Amino acid sequence: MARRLVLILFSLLVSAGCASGVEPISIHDPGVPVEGRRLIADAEDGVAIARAKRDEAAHQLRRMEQWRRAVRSYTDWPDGSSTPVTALNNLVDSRVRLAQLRMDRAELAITLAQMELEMITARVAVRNDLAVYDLESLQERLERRQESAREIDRDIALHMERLDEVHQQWWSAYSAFVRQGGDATPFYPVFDRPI
Amino acid sequence: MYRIGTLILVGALLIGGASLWSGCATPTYELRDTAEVEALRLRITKVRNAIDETRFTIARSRGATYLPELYLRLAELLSEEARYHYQLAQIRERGAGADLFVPEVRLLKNEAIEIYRDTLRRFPESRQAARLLFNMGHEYRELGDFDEMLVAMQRLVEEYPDSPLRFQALIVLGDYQFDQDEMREAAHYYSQITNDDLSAAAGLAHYKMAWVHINEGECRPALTSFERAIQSTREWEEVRGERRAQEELIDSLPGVDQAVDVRRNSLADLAYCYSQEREASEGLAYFREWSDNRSDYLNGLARLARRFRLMDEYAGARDVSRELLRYGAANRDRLDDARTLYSTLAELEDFSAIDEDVRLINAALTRYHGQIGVSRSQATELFEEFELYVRDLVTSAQEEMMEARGDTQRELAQRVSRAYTAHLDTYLESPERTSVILNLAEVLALQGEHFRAGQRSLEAALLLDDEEALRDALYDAVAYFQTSLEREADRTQYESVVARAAMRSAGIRLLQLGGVDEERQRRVKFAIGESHYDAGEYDEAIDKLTLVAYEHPGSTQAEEAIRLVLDSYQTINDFDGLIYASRQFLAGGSPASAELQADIRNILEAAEQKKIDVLTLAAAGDDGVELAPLRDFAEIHRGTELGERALLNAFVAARSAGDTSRMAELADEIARDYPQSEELAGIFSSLAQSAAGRFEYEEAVGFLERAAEHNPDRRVQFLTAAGELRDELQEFDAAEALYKQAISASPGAGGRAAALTHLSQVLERRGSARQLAGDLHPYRDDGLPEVLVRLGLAELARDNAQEASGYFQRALSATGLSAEAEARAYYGLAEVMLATLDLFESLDDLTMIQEFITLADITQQNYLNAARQGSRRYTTVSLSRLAFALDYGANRLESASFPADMDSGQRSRLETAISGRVDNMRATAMEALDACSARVWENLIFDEVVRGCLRGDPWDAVLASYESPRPRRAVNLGDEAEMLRERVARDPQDVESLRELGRKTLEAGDPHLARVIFRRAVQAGGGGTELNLLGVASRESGDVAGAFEAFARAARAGDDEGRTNLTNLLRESGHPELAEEVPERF
Repeated sequence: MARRLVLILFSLLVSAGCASGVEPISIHDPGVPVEGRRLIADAEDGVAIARAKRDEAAHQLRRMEQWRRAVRSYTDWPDGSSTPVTALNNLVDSRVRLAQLRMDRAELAITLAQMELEMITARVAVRNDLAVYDLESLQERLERRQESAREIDRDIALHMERLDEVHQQWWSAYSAFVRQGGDATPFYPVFDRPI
Repeated sequence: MYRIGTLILVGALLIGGASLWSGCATPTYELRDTAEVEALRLRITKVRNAIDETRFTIARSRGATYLPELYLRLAELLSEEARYHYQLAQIRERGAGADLFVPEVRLLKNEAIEIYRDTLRRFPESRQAARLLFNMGHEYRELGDFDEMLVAMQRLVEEYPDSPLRFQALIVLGDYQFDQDEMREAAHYYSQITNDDLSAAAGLAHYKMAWVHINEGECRPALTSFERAIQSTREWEEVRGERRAQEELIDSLPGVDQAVDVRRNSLADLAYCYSQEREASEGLAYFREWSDNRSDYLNGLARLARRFRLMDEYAGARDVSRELLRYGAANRDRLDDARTLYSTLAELEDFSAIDEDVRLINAALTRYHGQIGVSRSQATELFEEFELYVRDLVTSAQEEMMEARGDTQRELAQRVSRAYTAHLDTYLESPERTSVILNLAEVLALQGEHFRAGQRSLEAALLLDDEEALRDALYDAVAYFQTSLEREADRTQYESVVARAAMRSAGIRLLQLGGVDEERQRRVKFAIGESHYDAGEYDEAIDKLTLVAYEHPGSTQAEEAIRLVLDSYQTINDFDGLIYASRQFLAGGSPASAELQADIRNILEAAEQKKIDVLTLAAAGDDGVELAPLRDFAEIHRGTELGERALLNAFVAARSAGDTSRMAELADEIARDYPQSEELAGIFSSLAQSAAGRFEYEEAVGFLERAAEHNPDRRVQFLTAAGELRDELQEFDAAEALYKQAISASPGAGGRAAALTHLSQVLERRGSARQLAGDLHPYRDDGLPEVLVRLGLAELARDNAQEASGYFQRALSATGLSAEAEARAYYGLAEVMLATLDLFESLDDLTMIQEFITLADITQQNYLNAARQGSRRYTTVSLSRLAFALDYGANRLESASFPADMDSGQRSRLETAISGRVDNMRATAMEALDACSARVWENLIFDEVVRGCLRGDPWDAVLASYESPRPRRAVNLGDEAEMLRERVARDPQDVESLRELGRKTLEAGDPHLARVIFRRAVQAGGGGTELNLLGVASRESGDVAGAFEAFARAARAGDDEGRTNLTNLLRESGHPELAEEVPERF
């Protein structure tokens, strides 16, 4: 959660009008060579794509959280199902956590895309004598953010391992419950996701 | 005036007051006639007025030609008045009795008759005679005086054959006979009309003839007569315009059956005979043909229907009932028709048009029951009655449908389903509604309309109270929807969405209901899960299908569920999920069968590879290699084949980017975590190649040695390559050791050839004949020319000329002999010859002198052959040794002595010859030395042998020695050189970077490595500067010959420093004279 706040704050700082001071270049500017404009256009596409992916991640997170609420509020569990129910709750929490991590990553992806756009804009400007920028420091900033992204990727990979364990616990508990003659029917509607 | 007005006013007041008084006092009732009576009375008054007028006119028309018309008119008026009186009496006497006593009628009619008679008598030629007769006859008939009637009519027929009234008279006559049941006589009269030309009465006559036939029990002619009646009437209709006058006349006649609609009545009346004579199946067509309008048609059909009902002619009744239901008016008759239709269908078990029939029956009911005259209770009763009919029919139809097959069944199913639907739409309150819905669902399913069948089953479920029936209905709904969903091509988007939602809803409800057997539960749960898959809701599909699999392990549904789960992951490209799920299904307690697990293993392997491919692709980004995801993945899966593959891919990615430091890291990691990896040898050899490209020779050798450790099959090659690197650095001891390791690691002769060759070259440089012979002797039978010649030279140096000779001969006869080996072989043979020359102890015999000279010549030839092979080294050596051998030979010849008893003259000649030969040999020796010396500038050779030649000292040993390089000290160039190394690794042709790297290496104190670098720079296109630096490095490494060559080439390229260094080198080497030549030559 804390990390998420930090990332959001950082994203706001970065996205708040080009903190590095790189002036945007229009892709329709005839004074810029076509190749340069193409690079900038691709980078802009990257930002748009990152935003779309962030929206998708946010949607998935919402669904997961709604689903968790629905599971928590379900009370009509059959007798003797405390173990699988506990395992199920763990599973739900774990999936929500994964969705949260992916959301964080998606937010960071927007920041990265914006920084890459800045970087490319600066390079094009420098190559075509349109402006002077400290490319090295821009690159360093970008690499620091990329390292942050790698950290989150690692967290996601590790969490997926953890989620796999949680899955195994859940399926073990569930199949044991069924073998003992438990009523598995209530578990079916519980897995309905909200739209 | 005032008084009159006052009187009037008073009178009015009195009258009004009296009225009021009377009204207030006692109510009075005034009898009044009904409107009908009033109308008749009015008519009577009018006709009387008309009679009076006519009489008056007659009175004043005496002698007029139109008197007969007036009398006719008068008589008709009297008759008319009589009619009105009769009607009046009928109204007043209503309900009183059948017989009426109306004397006015008789009086008036008698008077009319009198007028007719009198007129006929007075005007027998009148145009109205026929009319008069007819009217008179009519009056007689109405009075019941039939005899007089007959007379009058007969007279008309006979005396006025051309009158159109004749036909009417015949009709009357015929009717009389008919009424008297005298059919023959009646027919006699009627036939006079029918056999005559077409007339207005023809149709009627035929009609009455038909009835004659009917009464005689002859239906066939009756049917014909009815048809003629219709036909005649139709024909008359067509010509009536032309005969308007006649028609008007007929229309004005009293008493004639003008009210008879011949066509309508004929059609209706022929029903009986039709039913007797013709096929019931043709009835509709027949009646349609003989009808002129819908009303007549339906009217006739109604009669036919009744006939068929009475006859139990079910097929005919069915067809006619249908037609009446289709086109008839909405009245009670239709209800009877509907009942008829039901009973005929039930009797005939004819359900071929059940949908249409049900619709007709329902329509008859619904069109009737809403009429004002129908009470609610009547309507309710009718609904109940008809509901039974329809339900009976449709369920019977369904039974028949179940027994049918193929297209027949399909078509019937469609009709039955429509019929059921019509039932449900009409009989909303039917007590059996639920059963009907379920039946409909069953039929729809049989039709293949599973979606609608499911909807109906759900509808029934909403109405059912019985749990068992409810379970069945819900289960059927699920099954139907599932089947519908399986048929992709036929579904609309709407049906898909609804089917899935409805199926899930039904399934959940069924499960919640409980009491469902295990098999059904399994099917339903699987269907629910599959519906999510079908809808693209893969998250839900995965969870729910997995629930099914774990709940019902080993079942068909479990197997299918698992396959769908895995397919879901693949569809959404979630390779992580697919990997985890696959492992889960392969782990202990898995619900998957052994056969399925075998498939899952393949899936898992493919997924893992795909995952790694994706990571690898991502790693190779546009801005360099990003290995973190791959390494993280490898870390997570450490110890598994997957982890190993991830690291290998990371290594490949690093190599493609030229990142040797990460390559080395990864190689260490792989070697540490996967010591048994089959790729390690390749990895280390790659690293070695990369390190060598960066001139990190120590590391390269180390990697090759590690590669050799991990791949016994290629150990020889790796160690040989390592030896070559050491060789290049002039670390001959280390190279020798590596070559020997390679040779000992080789299982056979073929694998060690390269190592042996290199070893022989290294040992040759060392110059120790004993070591050369000792180390190479074990491999003499490998047959390698390079080894044989060196072995030969070593043996030669050890005075084993004979053995050496054998090696040289073997080398010369071997295939793949190189120039170097051939030069050595010939050189060796020359040395063998020289050694043989040394065996001559004294030259005091002519024969021995001769042999000595011959052998010397052969020796010379061999040296020259060796020199011609183009060996850089052994051309020089051969020339030098040739000079040596020639001097030796010349010296031996000079010391030759002749026998004492030789003739002086002969002695003198021999001495002259020998002296000449000696001079020649010495001269040739000088030439050889000169040729050897000349190689300094011609070939830029400045080794010890050449330097000897320059001094005039031929080489005096078999083996030519090599300069020993100074020992090498490896240095660490630090980070400064790192960038240069990367540059040259990326671009081996980067001369500038190579030069700079070489400088740094030289400055750091490793001239051996610098030499290698500069040599690469020269090969990459470097010029005088690089050549000069190469010379400097060579000199500092102890390679004087190499230095000389490099400096000379640099000087030749115009490099001043090179020229200077060359001059200095020559001076330092003790050849100032050569140094003096440098300015001239360069």
